[in-house]
Amino acid sequence: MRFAQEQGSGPHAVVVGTAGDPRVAGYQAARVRAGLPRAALLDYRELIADPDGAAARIAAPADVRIESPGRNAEVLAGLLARGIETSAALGLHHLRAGEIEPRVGERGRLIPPRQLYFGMESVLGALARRARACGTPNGIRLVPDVDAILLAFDKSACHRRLAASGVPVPAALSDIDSFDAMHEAMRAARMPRVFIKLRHGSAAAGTVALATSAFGMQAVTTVDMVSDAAGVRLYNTRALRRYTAPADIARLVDALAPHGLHVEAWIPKASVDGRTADLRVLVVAGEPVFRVLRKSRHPITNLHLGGERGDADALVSRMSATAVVALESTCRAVARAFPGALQLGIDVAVACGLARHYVLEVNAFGDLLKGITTRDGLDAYDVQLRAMERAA
Amino acid sequence: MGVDANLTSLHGYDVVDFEEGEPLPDPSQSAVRLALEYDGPFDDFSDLWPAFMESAGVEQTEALVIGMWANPEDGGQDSSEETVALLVASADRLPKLRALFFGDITQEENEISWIVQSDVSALWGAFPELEEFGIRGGQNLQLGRIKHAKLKTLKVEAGGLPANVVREISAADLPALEHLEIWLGTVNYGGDSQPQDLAPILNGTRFPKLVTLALRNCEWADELAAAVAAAPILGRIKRLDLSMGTLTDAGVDALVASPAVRGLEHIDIAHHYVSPAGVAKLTALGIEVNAANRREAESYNDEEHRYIAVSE
Repeated sequence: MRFAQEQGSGPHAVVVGTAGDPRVAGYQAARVRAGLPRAALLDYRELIADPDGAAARIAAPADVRIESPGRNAEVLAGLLARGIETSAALGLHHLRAGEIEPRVGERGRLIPPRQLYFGMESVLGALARRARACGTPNGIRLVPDVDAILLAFDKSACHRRLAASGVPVPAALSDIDSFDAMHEAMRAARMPRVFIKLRHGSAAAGTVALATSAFGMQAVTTVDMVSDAAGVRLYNTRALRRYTAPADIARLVDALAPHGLHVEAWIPKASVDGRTADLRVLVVAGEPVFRVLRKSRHPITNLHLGGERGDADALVSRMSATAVVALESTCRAVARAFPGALQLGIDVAVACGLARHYVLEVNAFGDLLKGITTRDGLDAYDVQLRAMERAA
Repeated sequence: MGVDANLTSLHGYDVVDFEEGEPLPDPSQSAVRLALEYDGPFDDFSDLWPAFMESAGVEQTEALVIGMWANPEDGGQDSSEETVALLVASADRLPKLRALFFGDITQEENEISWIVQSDVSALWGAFPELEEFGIRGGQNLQLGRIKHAKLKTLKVEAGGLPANVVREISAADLPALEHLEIWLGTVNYGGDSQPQDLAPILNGTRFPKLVTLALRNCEWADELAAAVAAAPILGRIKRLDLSMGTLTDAGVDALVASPAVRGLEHIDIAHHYVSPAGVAKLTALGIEVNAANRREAESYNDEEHRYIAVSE
């Protein structure tokens, strides 16, 4: 099929996503509510099978919305396969062709996030080439553009970009490739509490909140370590694990390190209703639209790890007017650092004391916020369609 | 697990963070919170404290919360000694202080067992108008000879409270005390107290005005419940709080066997290991019961493990 529409003039709509994924369904439903025809779906499986061929079937002019590939096993395996070449060329840890399917099929097993990132880079690159080839005007507009997606998926690159844009971010330790190197860098930087993240990870996979002091170490993590004669295997766990033995923590960090680490200071987060809390702010077309509070009994607040949603006002109303203005200004600055993104989900920690805040993560696909609407009843997709209309 | 939240209120005052250069909040409504923060404007509590003391109207302060006194960049491991000395040295400029919490530090800021306290006994004489005093962190803590004519509420929170501190509390001279709260903690973090360390409290010779006895976060909660059930103090108080501990049906059976337990208005066992049938025995007493957060023992190697709410 060709991704073009018969009726009407102007650019036609394409969504790159995975059939059956709630993001695609949410977007299509919003189009229907807006009286727009459903967007043609370019499924990741087609894009993975033949990136340039699939991209070539998009006829200009088109608005192409790029969605997250989601968690579909076939799609993940395809992206990992597309990530082999770059991983191998750079000499980086990766799964070989025969190892991918069993790994993706193993429940909870950590999937190499950098290989996935390279896979995304590879298949989305075809869309970027197609868009460039069509030129402007009346070309192909990718929303978000591929640079924005890749920037958001590389936490170290994103951290550098944000810091350079004057956005408050936690101080980071660079080039950490082992526990020993990290421990030394923590001492040198006077950073006794850190968040260790997989540089290309998502959904808090491979995240460790590590506190050290003269009295010992404590690590709270989403990783379950299974060690045997064959080595250490890493699994994602929703019931957070705690490690206190330095040898265990060293083994954990050393097992995560080959995947690529991003290590930054652990910002002591403010609390709401007796829980540790942070904010997910959705910006659309540069403006904050939703603020969702995430509350947890753990330092890692993701909702699938036991965090609960809450009313952001419970936190924001306790902040000074200056601090609230600064927070909004930060969100706008993040948006400016991602000129190719229509929307961004920005995770912000408001530090204990409620005066300062820090951007923890930027999510290119951060708009899947079920049940969250504006006062006018618009969900994240409705808001984005209206923003597109205004921009047109 | 640790302490999840900073205080939002103290002794009926809303807690407001101190901001240098901003006017102090209404002293009749608000407690000021002073704490070093990550990336904050002060690296040293000895710089933050004078900034507070130089604020207009500081002598009207009625309630004060001390948070992180140690620099977070050093792992928050400096003891509270210098901070206690600063408070004591400024006491004549805080003549109206009625409520003080010393150590409002969450697990996001520092682990409770890594908070390093000190000898805080000089506070008793320095602030004669105190009605409420709370402190968090058991490591190196010394309360000394506790003597205070007006103190109504004393809270001592720890992941492990050393037995000598429990004995200091037991020996306290606090004629006005109405609310006593002690987090006993686990022996893994220095909480090595035993029932006899509480004997002067339990036998009823102390604290003539006591209404609430809260012996929380206890690793030997069943033994504690049995000791409380048999103790004269039970006949004098209205509220008993054994929450955050490892209480099981054995502890509940000891409690319900005591006639005095029926004289209570309220019993709190939240965070417990009691069966629904055991909880029903408590509710059948016809008093208010909080039995929220029922836990299941975890088994490893054929051994059952039960955990207190706050330890590390």
